[in-house]
Amino acid sequence: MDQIDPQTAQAALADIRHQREFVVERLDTMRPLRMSAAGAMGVAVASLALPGTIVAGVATFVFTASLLPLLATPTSAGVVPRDGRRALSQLYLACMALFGTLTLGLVGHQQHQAWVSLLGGVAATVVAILTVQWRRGSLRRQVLAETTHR
Amino acid sequence: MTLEPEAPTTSGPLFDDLIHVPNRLRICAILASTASVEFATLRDRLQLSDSALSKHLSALEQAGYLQTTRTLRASRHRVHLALTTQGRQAYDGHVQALHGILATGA
Repeated sequence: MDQIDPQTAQAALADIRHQREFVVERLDTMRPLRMSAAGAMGVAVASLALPGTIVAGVATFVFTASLLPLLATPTSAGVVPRDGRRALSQLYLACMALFGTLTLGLVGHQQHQAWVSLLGGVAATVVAILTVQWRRGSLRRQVLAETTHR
Repeated sequence: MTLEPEAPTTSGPLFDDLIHVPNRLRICAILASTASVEFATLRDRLQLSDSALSKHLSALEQAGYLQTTRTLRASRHRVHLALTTQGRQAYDGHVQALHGILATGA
């Protein structure tokens, strides 16, 4: 190889970091939609405070449908994230917590305890927002760390 | 979302002349941090023409560093690009070599 000087190496590494920041930016394009989905999930669970089978059906549908924009990366981003096994395990735990809040809402609905469903709604919003923030941070750390830990 | 091993893929620092060409280094940097990237996204990011990008991709593909997948979506062909295991190893080794040069020169 033709040995390159340290300045050129530094410039190349800076360029690499710049490209990785672009990837983070692309993965983050749908953040407003994700936050809206988090809100929709909270409203869906809180609406279980209202009586009626149709309410329960619609709320469950809205909650499950909101999972897609909350967790998935849209094709319009043009990039597919590279998830490790650890990230997927954490994602699975986040989904468990989210479904836990739905269960809480459904229990309130079944037992006619509106406050339990409302509590579930608040919990669903908080867990969904935390999931969005955690996933964003996790992807960012994973993408950017590769050029800084060596 | 694609499941990828988290274990380091590098086999040691090794400067790679094929990767070090600026646009190829950028291509590899983007591909290494993702499971795959769409051709159009890469082209727009690097501000290259289709043919110029294809030329760089062909060089990487011939070296066994890159794999392409073609899909049909909304009546349009989309090309997805991803680094192979060999490509990741070569890229990681190259980045390590750059860090090495920087450490020795500092």
